[in-house]
Amino acid sequence: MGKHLGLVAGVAVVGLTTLLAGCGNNSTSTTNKTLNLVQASDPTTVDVNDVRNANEFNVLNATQEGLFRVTSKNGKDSLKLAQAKSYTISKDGKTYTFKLRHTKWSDGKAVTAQQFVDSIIRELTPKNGFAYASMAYDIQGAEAFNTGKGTANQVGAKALDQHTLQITLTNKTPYFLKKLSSVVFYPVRLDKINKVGTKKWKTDWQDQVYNGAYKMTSWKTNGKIVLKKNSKFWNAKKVNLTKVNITTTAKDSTMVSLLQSGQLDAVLTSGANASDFNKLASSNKITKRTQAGGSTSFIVFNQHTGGTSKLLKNTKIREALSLAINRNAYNKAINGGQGQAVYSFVPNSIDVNTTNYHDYAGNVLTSALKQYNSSAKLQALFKAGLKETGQSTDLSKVTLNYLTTSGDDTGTFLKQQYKSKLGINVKITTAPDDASFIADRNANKYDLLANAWNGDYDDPSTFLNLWVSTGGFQKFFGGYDSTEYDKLYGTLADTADTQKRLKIYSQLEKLVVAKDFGVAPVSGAKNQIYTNKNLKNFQTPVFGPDYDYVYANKK
Amino acid sequence: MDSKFNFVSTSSATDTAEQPTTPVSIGFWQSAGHKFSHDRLSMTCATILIILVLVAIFGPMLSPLNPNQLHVNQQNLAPSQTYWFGTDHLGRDLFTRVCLGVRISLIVALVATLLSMVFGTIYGMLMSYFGGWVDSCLMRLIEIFNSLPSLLVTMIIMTVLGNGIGTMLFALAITSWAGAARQARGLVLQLRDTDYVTAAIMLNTPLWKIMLRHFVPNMMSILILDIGQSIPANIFAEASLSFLGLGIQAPNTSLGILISEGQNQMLQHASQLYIPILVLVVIVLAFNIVGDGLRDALDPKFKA
Amino acid sequence: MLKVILRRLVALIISLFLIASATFFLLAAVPGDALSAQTDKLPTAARKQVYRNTGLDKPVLQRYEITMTNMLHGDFGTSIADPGMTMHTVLKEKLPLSARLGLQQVLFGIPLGLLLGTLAAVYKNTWLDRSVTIVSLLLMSVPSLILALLLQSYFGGTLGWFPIIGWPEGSNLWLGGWSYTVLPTLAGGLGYIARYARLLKNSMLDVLSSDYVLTAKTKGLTGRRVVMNHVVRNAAIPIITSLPVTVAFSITGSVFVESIFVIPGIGQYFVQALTNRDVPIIMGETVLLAALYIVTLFITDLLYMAVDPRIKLYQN
Repeated sequence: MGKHLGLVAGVAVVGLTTLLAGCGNNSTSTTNKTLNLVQASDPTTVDVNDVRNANEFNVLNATQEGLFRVTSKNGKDSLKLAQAKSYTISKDGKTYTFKLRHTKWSDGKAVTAQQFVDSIIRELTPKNGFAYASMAYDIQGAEAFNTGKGTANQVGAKALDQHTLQITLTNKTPYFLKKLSSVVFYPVRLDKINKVGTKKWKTDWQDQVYNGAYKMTSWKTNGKIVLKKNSKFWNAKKVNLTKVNITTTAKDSTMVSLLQSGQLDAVLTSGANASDFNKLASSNKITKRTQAGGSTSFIVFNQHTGGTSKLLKNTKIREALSLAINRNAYNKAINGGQGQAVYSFVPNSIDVNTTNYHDYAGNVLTSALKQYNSSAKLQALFKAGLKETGQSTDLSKVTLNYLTTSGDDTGTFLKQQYKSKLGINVKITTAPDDASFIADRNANKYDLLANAWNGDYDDPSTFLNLWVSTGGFQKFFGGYDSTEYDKLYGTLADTADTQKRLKIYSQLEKLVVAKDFGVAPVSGAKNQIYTNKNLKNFQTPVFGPDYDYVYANKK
Repeated sequence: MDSKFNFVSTSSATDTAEQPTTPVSIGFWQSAGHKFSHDRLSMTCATILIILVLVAIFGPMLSPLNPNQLHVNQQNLAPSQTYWFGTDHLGRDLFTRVCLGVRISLIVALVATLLSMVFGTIYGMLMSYFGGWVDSCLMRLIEIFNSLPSLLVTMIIMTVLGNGIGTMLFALAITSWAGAARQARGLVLQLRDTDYVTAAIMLNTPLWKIMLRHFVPNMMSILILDIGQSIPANIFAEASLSFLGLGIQAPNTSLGILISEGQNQMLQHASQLYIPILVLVVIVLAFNIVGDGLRDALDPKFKA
Repeated sequence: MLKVILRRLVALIISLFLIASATFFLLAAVPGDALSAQTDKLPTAARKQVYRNTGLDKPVLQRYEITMTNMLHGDFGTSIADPGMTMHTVLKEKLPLSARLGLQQVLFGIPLGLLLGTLAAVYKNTWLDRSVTIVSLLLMSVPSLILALLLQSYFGGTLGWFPIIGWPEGSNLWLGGWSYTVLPTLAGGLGYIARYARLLKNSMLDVLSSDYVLTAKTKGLTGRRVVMNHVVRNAAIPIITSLPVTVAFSITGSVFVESIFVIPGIGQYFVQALTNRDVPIIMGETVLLAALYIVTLFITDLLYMAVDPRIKLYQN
């Protein structure tokens, strides 16, 4: 027996000791020069023109740079010159001239004005099909080129010389610079892109060149992105952290454990997830900060076809559905009380020039909520709507279809709210994945959806242009269609005065939210940022990227 | 199996020590039942299982609470007299939800197992009964299904057919019937040439009757063992898939959903994670022990 | 023998063809595709352009034909959701991570399992036997998913002994970064201990109570020679024959452990490909894994023949 047994035992012990030996050199190299971050999922692209969401903004904001950089202090964003050294705006407010710094790409080539022009043209080129092309529509000739009605030469972006860039707008657009700071307008290197083609360039990080503070040195999908300091960056001497690890994990519990054990330096959370982190606030190694977010969650009403129930084209029914939602309860249930109940669509972090928009406009739903403050009144309203559509007024026979992808809590909540307040039923349909969800949504197989919108820049228009019938986005959010709204929105084009703009914006918001009830805003984000105590100057802009750590340092 | 020979078993049950040498010709099932009922651990676990099933079925009636009712002011409560297991992040009563979850998990596991066993057995019996080209054709199909990476296939099916209990049953069954079919085929190959089957065929007995009368009883013990093994496997599969978001979807619930919801609360309200985990482990452990006990009782090699 | 291998090869090709076709049409039958989420918010013209660029605008049968022809040439195509990614890069970048994880689990779990199984069989009905039985039953009853969660939160979080997530890469791909691998190895390896301890114990008990061992003992052979000559050889049969399948399964990724410890292996990538409807990758992984399993099953059959001459597989 002994011999054979000895062999087996030997193998097992060797196995164990190598494993245990591994524990010894457990060197989690958290030097003071390395920043450890997490991301919920991988960026879909490293192509600045092809960006869609925060994951890629976060990375590209660190590796590439545009004319301006958004700096953020106490939840207020402001612009700081970056690749641009200075700029002038013509008297009519339509022509912008930028003087560029003499900066270099990571391969040593100069950053030129033409590369900024290339970026705008590439963004708008119809066959590239970039999602954010409409961000550039303020530029003269841009919309025409993008929609195939004009040519690239007619687009108002010119390189006057190697370091002078001129952009001409169709209308005087007061918030244009805020837009221009977006990743979408970062310069591009056509010489590199044309070598591999736009399709491959999308995720081809090995061939990228960088004009930002960091270079990407490794990217493993579902794993980790590693950034190293770019020594060719014009302001490299101000960049303190030499390495950034961005690990992909979506699990809050993992993030909390990472934070606790010092393997993660900062994380931004909001909504229900945030409550998982509450325990950390008491820790002496971690700082917690709260700031208003730039997003609104809302319930979509299918106004394309009226939905599967055929009821949602009726304004009274939509009104009852919007008013029946107890937004405080919604915030408690869905966001764990960590968000904010909202009664208007534009989040309160948005300013027009220097005036806070929400302070000016107030909660547009308040008066309607006061009027219909009981379940009986709401039911009467719903029944009135049913009568108008010529349907039976038996509320218990009404069933609305709520479409979602992965079982979220919103459906469960709405089902209960609508049953108890309106006496109607909600059926929850769960699509197995995004592709099926989109197929069902496009086929109008829904009455209700939950959705959220993150603003792209600091101006109410980033929220209110969603509801313009020709805007291209309203069709995803229920298809609100009002000529009155379109006309009113059109008057913004030649209005530059802040007070006048505020007035038009608030009229627009009232129209879609509290008169036509084209959408039911329910909650707003309040971001909670947890950072390692020794991490300084780690910024969290409201718009664009979640994090900006280019000039952060660890002490 | 003939009842005439069974009367001896009563005496054997009283004290086996007194007649140690000559094996008593008691019926196979009586002997197995006797052995199983004297296996204290297995009996305990079988009892636990029965209790759990009863709680899963009738538990929600014991509590006045509705497992699907949200209470925004009673979120994440610790276990108490009203909320025996506490409440979840939406303020729903966890005890009744666990009952529902166990119900769904058990239904999925049992029905998927039965589906694959019944289909596999009939398939296997038919192919070996007919033999020849039918057999070799159907055998190819078994080989294909046997070589499928079952987890991948389950996931593909869940994606294609959508999430839901029905889909899950189908996906779990389709990836596991081939084993049962193989086994049934092997057994029928042995039985086909026995005198009583030949006799039955001569007498023009319909096929289904031969299958039911002669094949199935002879396979029973092996089938029971297979069932004992595949139920825990299916409980795992359901929990894991639902955990990954590929399985059953909220607002439906199952142990997998409860575990994945509990995982989000792991740090602050650990009981929301540990309770469903504990229930799952107890169920699977009990199934495994009962399965072991059954094997000891049914396997002739394990005659004590 | 050659004939047997040839026949198996033909069967393999037919199986793979059927599997590939079934996967293709199943995925094609669901509304929506890899591009629907990506192109969702694009203007119609732009969306059409993107579809044209990837060839997804062609009719199903034509796509099927292209896919199958390419597959014949060993080309599974390029990922649609993750351009630039081909099965080749998946195998090069993702498989090694999963393979190391799987091999470590197997190398840790199986020897320990065998040791415990032997002990339990030799010291049958002692406390040792009972504790092995109980521990292995318990380990068998906890899914690796849950083990992973518990290990991660306790040893990674509460005690902080090991990194919570991550996996060695680069120069540490195969050797090094051990601390990262401890918890994931345990999460999967403990299950192997349980399975193999039970397997070996049962088969040893079978053999120990068999007639030839009893005969050998009555002939007066010493306990040690009985064990060496008869017990080990015969009890090893189920172990040896179940090894190939275990190893094949283990190196091709344990989805759950990978997803909990954020290991960018092949298992997680498959889940991602599925949620993205990334047909080339889904088909590539399914077909390659199926091929691997079929070959493994064949090896298992050969092993059966080698270790147990009583088994003749290829009689018809």
